[in-house]
Amino acid sequence: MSSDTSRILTDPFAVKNPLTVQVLGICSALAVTSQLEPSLIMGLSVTAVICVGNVVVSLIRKMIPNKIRIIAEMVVVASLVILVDLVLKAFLPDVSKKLSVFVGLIITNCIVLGRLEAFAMGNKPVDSFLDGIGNGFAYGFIITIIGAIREIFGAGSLTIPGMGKVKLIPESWYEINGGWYSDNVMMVLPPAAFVILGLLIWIQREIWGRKHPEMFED
Amino acid sequence: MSQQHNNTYTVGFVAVMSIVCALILSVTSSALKKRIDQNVLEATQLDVMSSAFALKADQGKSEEEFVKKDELLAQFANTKIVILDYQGKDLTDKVRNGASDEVFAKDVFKINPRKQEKELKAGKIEEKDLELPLFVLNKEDGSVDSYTLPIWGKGLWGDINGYLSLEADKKTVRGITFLSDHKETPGLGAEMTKFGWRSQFIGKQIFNNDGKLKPVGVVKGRVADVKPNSQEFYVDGLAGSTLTCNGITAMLDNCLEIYKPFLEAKPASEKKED
Repeated sequence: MSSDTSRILTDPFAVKNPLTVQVLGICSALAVTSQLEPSLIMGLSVTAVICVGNVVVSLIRKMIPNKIRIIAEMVVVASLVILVDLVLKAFLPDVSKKLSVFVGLIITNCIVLGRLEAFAMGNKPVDSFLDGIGNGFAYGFIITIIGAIREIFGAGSLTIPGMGKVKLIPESWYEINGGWYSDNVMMVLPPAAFVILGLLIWIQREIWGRKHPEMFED
Repeated sequence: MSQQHNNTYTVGFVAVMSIVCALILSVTSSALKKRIDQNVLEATQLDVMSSAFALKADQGKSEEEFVKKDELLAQFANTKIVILDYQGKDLTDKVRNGASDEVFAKDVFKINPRKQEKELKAGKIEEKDLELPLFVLNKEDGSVDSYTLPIWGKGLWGDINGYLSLEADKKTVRGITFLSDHKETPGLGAEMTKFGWRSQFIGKQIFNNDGKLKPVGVVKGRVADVKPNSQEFYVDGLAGSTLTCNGITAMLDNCLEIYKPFLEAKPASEKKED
């Protein structure tokens, strides 16, 4: 793998993270991250849609008239999302039930449109596919962290797919049982995601920001 | 991307793209329709059954560990479907109109009490036209094990539908489910569908000590703090979702009121007619 190709995969995790550096897709990052599981599934669904969308747009990029390229990209994304929704409903009804409105939200995720517009319109299908993987997972990675933190402090437990709910805070700590602890209600509400995301942006800029001043370019 | 296309090309491109996308979607949709309908039907039957078989949640266990999907669906096949009128009389034979068990088990979900209530309020139908579904689960010896009835109302963002199961005494709540087509906020109001919260309803009473109908209410905060003396009529609220909780209280009040004649009838008089 050439260094250019591998950078397509790794950059989104570091200096080009769609969430913490480009600050795209914030709406879904606030809305679905109250728990670990939906965050994880949302990350995977977005990855799937970016990958396939990137490949499709990249394949027809020379045919798309410049004037209507955004609409053309939207049509591709919307069709894909409806397709994913139908397939989930038919073959994985339980997962589809859990995702409910989140699937529809993928259409409005700016990262998807951003990658199609910024990358797939000017690159070959294979590179576009890798770009989709990189950005999708980078997005999923960040919202999973946010989801885990919010669930631990908001509900005192962590729902791990396949393992069920794992209680992390001992019952005896709770006020109701004579202890001193109570769940942080703000963690369940969207503003908590803002705070955590802000902290993550801070950490990320501390790590990579000094070496890569281009991260701060406006 | 750099070359300019003329308008005819642009219009042609849009037309072709729309047709291709529409074609893909409609073919997929019709190919999967049967499967999706079957899934939806099974999910609805499962909701009916899981309200009847809700078990008290244990700390740290999920619903899947208690409830076996196939067993519940098999139980639904043993459930007797009854249609009541507004006075609690049995209308089943009239509504059923000779349909086979299998067909009727599907058709019963087309009866929409929410719509009927709306039409009743708008004056389009009369009270005597109401058709109220009821799912009666019998024990092996033929006596009633549980009654399950649909509940419907409004949450914060949209409609909430569900099922409420009562023990054979028609007084004690056996379980409750909310369908997944609600629009409540994930992580807040949507927590109402979670097993742990719903299982609080188990064992609560819908008639007060004077024998008046008093459906279970959702309080703000913890019942032990707010209503320490009448804990059997209330459940804990969901933090940050007061309006969803108020909606649930209102929907229980409203729906049980409609089923009141049936609920107030003595369990013995309900004894099998067939």
